[in-house]
Amino acid sequence: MRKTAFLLMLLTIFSLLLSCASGETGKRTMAGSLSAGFGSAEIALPEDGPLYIAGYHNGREITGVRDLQRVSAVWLGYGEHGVLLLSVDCVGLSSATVEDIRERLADFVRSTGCEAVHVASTHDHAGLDTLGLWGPIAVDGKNPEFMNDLIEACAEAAEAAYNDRQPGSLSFLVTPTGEGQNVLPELRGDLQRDSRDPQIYDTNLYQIVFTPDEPRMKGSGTSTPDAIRIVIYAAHAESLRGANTLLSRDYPGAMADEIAARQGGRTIFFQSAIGGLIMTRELAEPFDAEQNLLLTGNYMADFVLSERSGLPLENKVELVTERFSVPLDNSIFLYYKFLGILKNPMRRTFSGYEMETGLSIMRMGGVTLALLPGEVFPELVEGEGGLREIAASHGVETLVVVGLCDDEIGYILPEDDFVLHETLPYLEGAKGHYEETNSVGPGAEKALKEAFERALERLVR
Amino acid sequence: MSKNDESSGGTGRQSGKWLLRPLAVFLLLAFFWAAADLSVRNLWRALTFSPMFALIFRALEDALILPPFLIIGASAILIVFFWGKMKTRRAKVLLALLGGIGTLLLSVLFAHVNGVFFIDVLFSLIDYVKAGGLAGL
Repeated sequence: MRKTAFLLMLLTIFSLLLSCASGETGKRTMAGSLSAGFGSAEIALPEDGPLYIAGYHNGREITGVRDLQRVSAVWLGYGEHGVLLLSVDCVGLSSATVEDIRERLADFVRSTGCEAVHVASTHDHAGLDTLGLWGPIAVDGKNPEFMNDLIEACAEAAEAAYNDRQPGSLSFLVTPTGEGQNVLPELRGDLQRDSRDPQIYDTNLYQIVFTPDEPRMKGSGTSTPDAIRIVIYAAHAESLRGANTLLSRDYPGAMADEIAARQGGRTIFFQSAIGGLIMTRELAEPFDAEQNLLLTGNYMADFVLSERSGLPLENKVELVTERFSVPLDNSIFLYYKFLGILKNPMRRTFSGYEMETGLSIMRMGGVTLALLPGEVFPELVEGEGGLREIAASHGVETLVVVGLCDDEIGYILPEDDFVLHETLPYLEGAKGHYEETNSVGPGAEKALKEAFERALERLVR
Repeated sequence: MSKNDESSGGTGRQSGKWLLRPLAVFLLLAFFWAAADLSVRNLWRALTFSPMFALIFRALEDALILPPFLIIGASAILIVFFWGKMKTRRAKVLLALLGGIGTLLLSVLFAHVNGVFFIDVLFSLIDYVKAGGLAGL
């Protein structure tokens, strides 16, 4: 009897400890004089293959190089502390790889007073496989040497961004790119397209622009070559489309190059809510991959540079991170984890497996960034009970979603539109429901929204 | 069964019988564990509406869901339990061998690689086959 009581007591204590360790990190607030810096580094291409191209078909290797994948970094310093934002030209990075990058940056973090490192992917469909899903079936598609080079490029870009820092100010700009709203009548139609009903997507292009107090180069305001542009837009980076076998950064790279060529300036790109499936339209008729890429990059640059003034942001940032688990229903992901190809941390529960992930919220005065771990369907952001509504109920007015940040768990779909193939769930897609095959499962929506709400509660507390 | 059979040191019918019993118990244990595991999962699904139950189950799961260790433990207990029943050295050696091999086999069957249990991979493959997916594969 005593033994039973003792065991029950132990269980209670264990339960209480578990409830305390719910995976949240405290709110971090940084304020003070603002400085920012930009850095970029090429990811070296290994001499030895295989070099599988990510995003479309299994087991297909690159046949040449158009432009090398890069890592871009922005340092945002507030007084003695700061935040490092990294954007990697790749299809996606699992949280395990992000942790490897953070480990590599441990000395950097210690020596610079860096409070947070966030790593996002541009969802490049013309880059090498960084998740392991595009090798031959059941074979890891990642090239280990390339993954090491990617981590080294992150470290190089981070150092360059920190060393580049200079005092200045931030502003927030919104540019409509939808038909009838934008400044480019020659575009005729939206720049984006949605391949799945309902046709919902955010047509705005968002920018957070750093303007130095004393530009090192000729120019003024946001048009100075010293300006640093954080561009956030919702469209798969696949303007080269599926037949392409040349390595490239796709349109985020073409856009950055075009902006640099026109007026200088440094650009870092982040994806927004691109699930379901939001991409850029085919602009070259008849279709030519190279022409389409250049046109897309040019239009993007037009939009970025069309906006000159925006909302000034105060020199303060508040950050919260929320760890959470998503029920894993996708057996293909389970096999890939079993085979050691998928690196995302998973845990077994009585109801099956759960994939562990996390999200962060970064409030910079009047604008709040939701740093989410996958390809979120815009319906989950804009719809009834969506993230924007949840944010508004917590007093957050301007919410900008950054997808594929700190993890890539695949598509995050609305649970009420989650349809699987009858006999080969996750291996084959049901008609008009491709995205389900690359998703963790129908429980992701609920898990994401609940975690987002918990994080918001801590942010506004 | 005569005493002569036993004293002669042979592996007569008696030792064979005692060798079959631990194996049967062993396999039954594995079967019931798997069945119970699946039932608990269904129970878990039904109870997830309650945060308190969820918390308790989450606390329990790490302690309970360790099938390779459970099987190894059960195998060791069986060997110890039946050791005394084995009257000849040869029977004892065979029991130890059987227990060892059985433990290894079941450990492999329930083993987890990269955090995923083989048995779960097996079950989800069975689900595919049941759903008619084998033809597609």
